[in-house]
Parts: sequence; C-alpha cells; structure tokens
Amino acid sequence: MNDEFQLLNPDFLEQARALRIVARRVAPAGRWAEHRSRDRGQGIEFRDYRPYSPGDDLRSVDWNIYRRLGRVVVRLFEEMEDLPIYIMPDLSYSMWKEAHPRAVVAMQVAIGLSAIGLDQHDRVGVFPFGDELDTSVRPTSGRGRLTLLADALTRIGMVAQRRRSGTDLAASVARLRGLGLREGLVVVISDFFDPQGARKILSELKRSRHRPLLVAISRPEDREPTLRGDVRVRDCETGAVQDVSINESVLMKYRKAYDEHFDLLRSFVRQRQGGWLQIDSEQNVMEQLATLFDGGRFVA
Amino acid sequence: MNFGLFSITTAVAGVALLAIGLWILQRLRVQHREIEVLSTLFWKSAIEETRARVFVRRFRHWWAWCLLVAIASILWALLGQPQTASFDKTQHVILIDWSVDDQQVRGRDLDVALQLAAELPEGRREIIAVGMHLETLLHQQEPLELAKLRSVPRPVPAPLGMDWAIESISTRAGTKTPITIHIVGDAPVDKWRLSALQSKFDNSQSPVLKIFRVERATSQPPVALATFGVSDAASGDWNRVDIWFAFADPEQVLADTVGVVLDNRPLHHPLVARDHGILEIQGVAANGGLLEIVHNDLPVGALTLPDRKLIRVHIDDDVPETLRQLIQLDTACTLVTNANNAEVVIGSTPDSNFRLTSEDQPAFHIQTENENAEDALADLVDELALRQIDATGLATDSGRVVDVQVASGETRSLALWGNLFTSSFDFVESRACPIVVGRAVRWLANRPPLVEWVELGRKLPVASPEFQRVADQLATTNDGRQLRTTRLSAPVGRTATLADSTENLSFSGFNLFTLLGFFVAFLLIGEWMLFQKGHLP
Repeated sequence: MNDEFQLLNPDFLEQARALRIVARRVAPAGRWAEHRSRDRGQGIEFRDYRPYSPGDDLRSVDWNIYRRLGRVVVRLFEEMEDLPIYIMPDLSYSMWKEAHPRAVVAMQVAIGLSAIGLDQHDRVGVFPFGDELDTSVRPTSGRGRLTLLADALTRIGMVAQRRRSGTDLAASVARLRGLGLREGLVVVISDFFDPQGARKILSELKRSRHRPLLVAISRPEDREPTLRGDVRVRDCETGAVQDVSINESVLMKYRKAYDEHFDLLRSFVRQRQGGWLQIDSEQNVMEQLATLFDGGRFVA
Repeated sequence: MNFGLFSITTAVAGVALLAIGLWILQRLRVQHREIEVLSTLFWKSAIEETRARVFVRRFRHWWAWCLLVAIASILWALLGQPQTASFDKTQHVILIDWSVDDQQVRGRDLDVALQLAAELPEGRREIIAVGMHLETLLHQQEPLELAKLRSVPRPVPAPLGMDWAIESISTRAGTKTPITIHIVGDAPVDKWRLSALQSKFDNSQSPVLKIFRVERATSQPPVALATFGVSDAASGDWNRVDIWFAFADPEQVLADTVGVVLDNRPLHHPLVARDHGILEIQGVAANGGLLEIVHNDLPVGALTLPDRKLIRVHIDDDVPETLRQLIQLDTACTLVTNANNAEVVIGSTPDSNFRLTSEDQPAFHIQTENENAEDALADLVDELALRQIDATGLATDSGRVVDVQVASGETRSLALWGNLFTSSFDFVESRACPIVVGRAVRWLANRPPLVEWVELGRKLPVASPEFQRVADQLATTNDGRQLRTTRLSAPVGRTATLADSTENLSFSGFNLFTLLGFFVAFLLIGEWMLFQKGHLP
C-alpha cells in the first residue's frame, strides 16, 4: 500500500530499533521473549525451590540437597515472556484539523513504538480510536509484521480523515478493557481533548489492568491561544458553541483549566508507574520520542 | 395591570409592545465572531462573558424571539391571577353572628369569614353580619379589605337569631337560585325550622339551599360548667356568700385540676364536694370581686360577687329591749342614730317602716309597692317567714284574731304588734322570732336572698333572652350585679348538625394561574436548555 503518511521512514525506524522497552515483570501465560515473567518455569536464571510433586521433570530435582538433607526439591527458574503492547492512536477530527495534522504524528509514534516492540519479540496491537475504538487490526508479533501494521494504520487513517469523528477516549478505553487482553502496556497517543474531561478519562483508565503510557500531541498554542476579544468558539468535533470575551483574566483561567487537565493525567501516570510524554507536533518526532527512553530503555 | 383589566385591543397592543421591546433589547446583545477550535473544554471553565456594544445583531432563529414574547406575555397575564369561568352559579353567603359582645370573638369570626371569602368566586360571595338586622359587610365583587372597614364595633343583641337570618337570605334569593350559606362559628340553628325552610326549595335535582358551618379554631376550654351559682353563706354571715358549681361531665375533671381565682389571685378556700358532682366554696367575702373557676389554668366560668353592704337600722328609744338586742346581734345590720340616714327605722311613729303597733291594730300589716298586693300576699308571707309564727298561740294569748293584712303603697313597710317583743307573749322565746325580724329587716331594705345560678340547658332567669346563643356573655341581674358565664346552655336537642364548609367547597373554577405558572416555568426551562446548546439567541 502506498504509504500516504510516510510511516515507514527508514531513518526513523532505524533510530527506533535502537530503543528498548523493558518490563519490570510481565504477566504470566505469554510467549517466550525477553521480559522477566511472574511465571516460574524452565528459564536460565534460578529463582526458587519447591517440594517435588509427582509429574515434575526429574532433571529439575536438586540432587545435592537430596544428598545433604534427604528431601526431594525441584529448582525453579524465571520464565522470560513477551510484553503485550496496545497502542491507541487518536484519529478524531481534532487530530486532523491543523495543516500539519497531529494524527500523522500520532501514527508515526505508534509505528515507532510498534517497531520497538516487534523488534524485541513483543506482541503489538494497534487500536485507533475516535468516538469509538477500532479493533480491526489484530495484535501481532514478529519483525516482519511492521509493514502490515503500517498499511493497516494508513488505511484506517485515511478513512478517519474523511469521517470527522469526535473523541470519546473513556469509551474507547472501556472497550479495550472489555476485550479481555493479557495485561500489558497501553499507549494512548492523543491530544486528550475529550469533551468529557480528564476525570472521565481517568475513571476508565483506573479500571484497566494495563500499565499506562500517555503521549500527548500538543502545540504551544494549545496553552497560549492567540484569540482575543468577543469570540464565539465552536468545538470542531461536537459543534458546541461557547461565547467568550477573551481578556487577560479569562486567559489566566483558561491556562489554569488547561494545566489542571494535564496535571490530572500526569498525576495518574505517576501513581501507576507509567510513562508520560508530551510531543510538539511541529518538532522532530523521533527526537522527542527518544526522550522517553532514558539510556535507550523505557521501563514499563 | 394585566389582561383581566384591559380590553382585547389593549391586551393585544401590550403583547405587541412586549414583542417589539424584546426585539430591540435583543439587538443590543453581544455579537461574537465565530471561530472553530479543537476543543471548547477549557473555554467553558474560563468563560467570562462581557457585553459588547453591538447594535446590529438579530435573532438567529425567529422562533427564539417568539418564545421570549410568549414567556413575557404569560408572565404579564399571571399578574392577574386568571381563573376559568365556573359553570356553578351558586351564590355564597357567609353569616357572622354579630350579637357577640366581644371584639376579640368578632375579629376572629371576621378573619375566618374573610379567609373563606378569599376562596370563593369574587362575583358570587358576600359576608353578612347578623345582629338586630342583616348588615352586609362585603358585597359581591368588592375587595376583602372593605369588610374590615365596615365592621364597626357596635354591640347589639340578635333577638331573632341565625334562623331568622337564614330565612331572610333564602327568601331574598328565591326558591330556584342555588344558594349556599356558610355560618361562621357555632351559633345554633334550629333543625326543625331549617327542615321546614328546605322543604320550600326546589330540591328535586340537586339541593338548592345548602347550609354549612365554618368551624373556627377556638380557645374554648375542653370542659364546661353545667351549673354555677352564688347563695347566702350557710354560716349566716351577711358579708359572705357560698359559691357552688358543677362541671358538665364531673367524672372527666380531677379535683387537683380545678382552681378558684378571686380578683386574679388564687383563692385557697377548700372545695366541698356535694351530691351530683357539685363543688361548693364556703364563706367567700361578698365584696364585689370577680371570682373565676379555672380548669387546667383555663378559665371556664366567672362570676361577679355581690357587694353586700350592711343594712342601716335606726331604733327609736321606745322599742322593746328584746327587739333591740335582736337587731344588734344580726350581722347584716348596723345601728345608726340618724333616722334620715337609715334604711330601716324601727319605732312606733308613722315615719317608721318597721312600725310597732298596739293590739287594737291588725297583728301584721304589710305595705308593698306591688300594685296587686292581694296576689303578692302569699309570697310575702313566705318571704317574711310569717308562717313560722305560732299564730294560734298568739291568738290565745291576746284573745284576738291574728291576721295579716296587705296593702299597696309607694314604699315598703311592716307593722306588727309591739307587745310581741314583750313578756306578754312568748313570741320572743320562739325560734321564729329572730327569723321574722331578720327577714323583715332584709325585705324592708330590699336585700332579697341570694340564689343566682345558671344551669346547663336552662335560661338564666334574670339574663337576656339571647343568653343561649352567645358565648362569654355578661348577664345583668335585677339589682345590677353581673353574672358572667361561659357557654353553659346549649339546646342540644334542637340544634341542627351542619356539615363543615371547608370540606364541601367544590365551586371554584379551574385555577388557570397555576396552569400558566407551570407552563411558563416549562418554557423558561426550555429557553435555558436552548441557550445552553447555543440555539439562543
């Protein structure tokens, strides 16, 4: 498929593959990969002993202990499994409205993180959302699947660009939770301009088992609007209008509301030991994305 | 100013003016330049709208202007408290018993009547006071305030009572016009007269004449006196009286809940229980004080005691010593030396009204101011206790006929043999002597025995005939004393039982005021929602 949004930029991907996402400990029942799991099994690194029970592999019996203490125990080793990564790029109309669409940046970030995940044998799912979650792209793994993901994301993006959908992040998170996916890392890439406000978004994120990584695509004008005077602002997604006479006092209240909104999101991420990244859509995406990876590693 | 007071043309013109005014005001509203933004989320928090001085803005939707005109017009109409016309043409007459000589009761009854009148259709209600004649306090269509201005305090008796008022009003209305009479308070209505009256009306389809009673909150004590009276003290003390009273239902009254107050101070005389639930207070000073009976600190009856002054008696020098001693021993009498200052003069001169005569005169000669002296003879003999005299013994001793003569005159006087008080007769030794002398002195001084009482179901003998229909009445006795009673008499057997007015009011038309109020509230909510959604102005 023609790469409409130039998601598969070789330089961009090369830089991305130098980065690593490291999980503290992944949920059990995954596939073999590079992350330490909460499972005990047949790995390399010794973890613990437990009494022998019929059916255990005799090769795991520690005969030295049997010789010294007369007790039959088996050795347990850490399992190394994959980290499921669920990436949710926001493709609502507000992400497309500007000359340099934030949605493209969101998709680039999504592909970059997908490249990192697939490169380290993790399972990656991409779930674009607007006023609802798109589950048409099934989670996949393997380095060769990146092109397929980029094609699917490009196709979905082209549809979303024409559709002018609204934003309902809370419902989308709730839908993702309802899919019953294995516990992993959920990456939300959005402007977070959900008309329901930050508290509604967080109420759904808090109910999710996944560790959050929130990537805010923003512009300096978001916090420092250049509007002045008597203005009727119309929401590009909902069409709701709000008459406002903008003066310095109003601007201060606006900034305060903006800061409170994103402070709530940041505070939540800190509590859940997740990640937070704010990307200026006008600046180099890869450079900004790399700031998330301290020493080339992002610990999820 | 509202629709109710304007003609149709004026009302329409008013609505048009409102519409134009709202349109002009709307043009003065702020004009904003519209800008599409990614989100209005933060602007909503920061909103601080200021009015821009722009004259060129119109309503974005013409129906928004119509909505505002409708709201303003309905609010204007609501000022008139509109009501739909009622198909019920019943005339309502509120009757107040105006015979009650108590401004507090009158004011309370008038307030009750006004409250009821406020609920009645203005064009079909009136308030009439029932006194010596029917006095209309509030005509139809008049504002309620006029009734208070017309309620000038004029105590009048109501000799014909509520029955007469009902008959007059129903006759005035005719037998076809539906009329409902509301009686304020508990003035009794004779059920037989009421039944006779209703039979005259055309009640074939629905009752034309309805009579209800407006029960008012009353401070009437829960118990009532059945009997309340005052009599001479059993001890014989002239300046003391005995009080006796009984509650209508003595079994409901505990002794320790009953109190007696004399001139606003508790009276600590013991209550002596008699037969039939009668309680007696003995030896109360007869000094004209106000004696009240209270039950649970609520007054249930009051009585103004007699002010008993001593009888001034002058005794001439030739009066036998025995008679003189009898007078001196009588606690009702005080001796005076000046005959002109005395109420009773005892002597043998013609100026004496207690005259001692010789035996050639009639034994007893009574002069009374009663024109029919012969008819009064029997009562006089009883009042003067002459029957207690041993007339046979006197006749034997004197050898003469002992007779009693009576004659009419301008003043009272009594003549009897002077020798009765000498050793010639054994009259002074008899028990009748002090009684006859005492009664004679009291009769001559016009101090009749005290037996003033009222009893449930009976009229006070000396009270106004209207006593039965009024409460808290001050009844005046013959000698000027006032006997104040509570509602002691109620001719229960003949009083019609009337339904309560407030439970039978089904006359008023539908209250359009409430309906319009809800409607305008609905419109205002709609306007607010439209404004919130940006469809207004």
